[in-house]
Amino acid sequence: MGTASTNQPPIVRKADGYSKFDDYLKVGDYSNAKQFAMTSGGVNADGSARDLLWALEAGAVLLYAGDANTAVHVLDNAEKLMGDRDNSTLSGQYNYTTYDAIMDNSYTALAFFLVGNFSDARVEFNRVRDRQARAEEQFRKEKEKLDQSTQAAEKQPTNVNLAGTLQEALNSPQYKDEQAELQKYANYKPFINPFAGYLTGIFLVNSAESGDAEKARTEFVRVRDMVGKNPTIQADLALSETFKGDHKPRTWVIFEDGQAPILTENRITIPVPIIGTTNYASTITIAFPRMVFNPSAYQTLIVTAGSQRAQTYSVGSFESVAATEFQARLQGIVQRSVVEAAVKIGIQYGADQVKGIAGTLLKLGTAVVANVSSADTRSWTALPKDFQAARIDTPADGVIHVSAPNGQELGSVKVGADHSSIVYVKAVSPGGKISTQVFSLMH
Amino acid sequence: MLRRLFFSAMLLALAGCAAQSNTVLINQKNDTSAVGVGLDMRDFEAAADASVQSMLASPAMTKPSGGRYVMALSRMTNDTMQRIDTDLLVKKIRVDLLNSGKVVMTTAVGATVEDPLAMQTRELRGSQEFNQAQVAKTGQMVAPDLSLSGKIIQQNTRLGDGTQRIEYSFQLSVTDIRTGLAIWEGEKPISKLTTGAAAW
Repeated sequence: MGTASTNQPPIVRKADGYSKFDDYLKVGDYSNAKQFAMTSGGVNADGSARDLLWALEAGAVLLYAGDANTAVHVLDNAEKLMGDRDNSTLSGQYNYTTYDAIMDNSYTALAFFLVGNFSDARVEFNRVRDRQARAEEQFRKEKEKLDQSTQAAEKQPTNVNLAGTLQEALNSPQYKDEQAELQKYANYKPFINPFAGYLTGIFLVNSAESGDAEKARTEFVRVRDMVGKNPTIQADLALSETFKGDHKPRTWVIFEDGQAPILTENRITIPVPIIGTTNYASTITIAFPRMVFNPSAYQTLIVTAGSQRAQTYSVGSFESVAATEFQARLQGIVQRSVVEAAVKIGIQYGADQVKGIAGTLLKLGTAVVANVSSADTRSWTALPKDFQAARIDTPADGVIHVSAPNGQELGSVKVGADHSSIVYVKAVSPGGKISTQVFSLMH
Repeated sequence: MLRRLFFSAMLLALAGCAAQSNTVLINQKNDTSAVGVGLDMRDFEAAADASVQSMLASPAMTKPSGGRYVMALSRMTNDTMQRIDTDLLVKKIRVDLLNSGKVVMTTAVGATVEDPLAMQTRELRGSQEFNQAQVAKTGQMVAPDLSLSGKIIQQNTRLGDGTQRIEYSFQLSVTDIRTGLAIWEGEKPISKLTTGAAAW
């Protein structure tokens, strides 16, 4: 794992394969999307994979396609690759985010729903809870490590003012614009995905285990506090408070709306000040990612069954989850790029000063610009923009209809009439095709 | 000559393979191999031993009229971050209880029926293919007196020095099925300290 043998096809870099994979996703062609992701990342049916990001993409589309067993294998291995990356036993892999890891566990739990393995689904929800509990501490440690490496770089005899260079970057209009754009979306508590909590709540409120209804209530309260009050979360909260272990069949319709934000490259050119002077050694150009937000597929869905009618409401804006974490990490990403580039130019500047080389500043600037590495713009794009939900009582005939807000029927699905279910709806492109999956909640 | 060379090469190849890995038999009673953050056989054995000793020491587990209680296995919930088979815990408890002479387990009923064949063979009644004298008659099965249920819980606590304390709690209950009252309850904690980030 992680190393390619000579007879294996090369890994397709996510950026290179993005368009085609995305096209399959947009039309709900999960069969081809799955094939494409698995081939591109050397992902096998037993879960083994040579590329973390493609394994995540493959795991997601396998779930959307209803291939639960393979999805579990692939998502499990993706989690293992994340662990290997954390332990520095794997290099060159996608630098996964906290929300990626949380979604890996959440999708694995859903895959366990599909095969009726609720015991292991509970394990995945416990892992989600643990990941969210330790994310802030992990982030703090990463930041401390970065600050230490910056301090170590500052001690090098380069004469360049690293703190001043970083400040130049943070004061640049491009960086400020990006922060202002992020601020519109980054309104959640960092590293917490309310949808994962919501899904945990649904699981727990359908469990007959003592104490689970109270735990479900705690989850729903947290979700409400993050997404705000809406009819769906209020109704679920009320259910968890009054749940007496009845087995009245209920149906939750969960809607994955649109596509998660993607990353593009942003570049800024900034001067590198020299310590103790008002002069600049040169200018540097650094690249860092910019988050771009995608439109909704359908702002909301209308769910009908017999005389019942409900509307889906957000139970976790995934773009807010992604933007909040990205905003927290962005300064660190810029800091790393600035330090790397400024140290390079500082070392060269110092050497040229010693040699008394004149007129090198322009040359230096050109050389450094040419050496700037591109920003890592990879991200797990199968994920949605927003998670929404609605709940109705399961009708006697089990038939649930899903419509667009303008009344256009998008599809119908049949659930088991004698037990609770989740109808999982996904639509990626605006006004596009929906796909549905039914997860039974028979504990 | 060629044949001899071939076998020599094979032996060398086998010797090469053997040198790459080293497997030893573990003495279960004196197992000092590395400890992981998850649960292994040592943890299940420790939890089962402690639970059974406590259970058998309880006067509630001695049938006043003599003889053995019939016990069924109820729900055993894995509320940890580890994918474990709770049978690793339960089987050891069952074996020890059976050996105690105080309890006999039924495999015909339970939260998950361990041996569905006991019930399925009742469907042979009336079948001309089977000797009806050998088919189990109605009213032969013994209903359970007690049920055993439990939960394994995991709690992680991050400590100020960067380490993590992982605490497992094995909680078991024995319920008198007739009255619904718990006649025995036990808890066995197992704690681990790790410098690792993930607790699974």
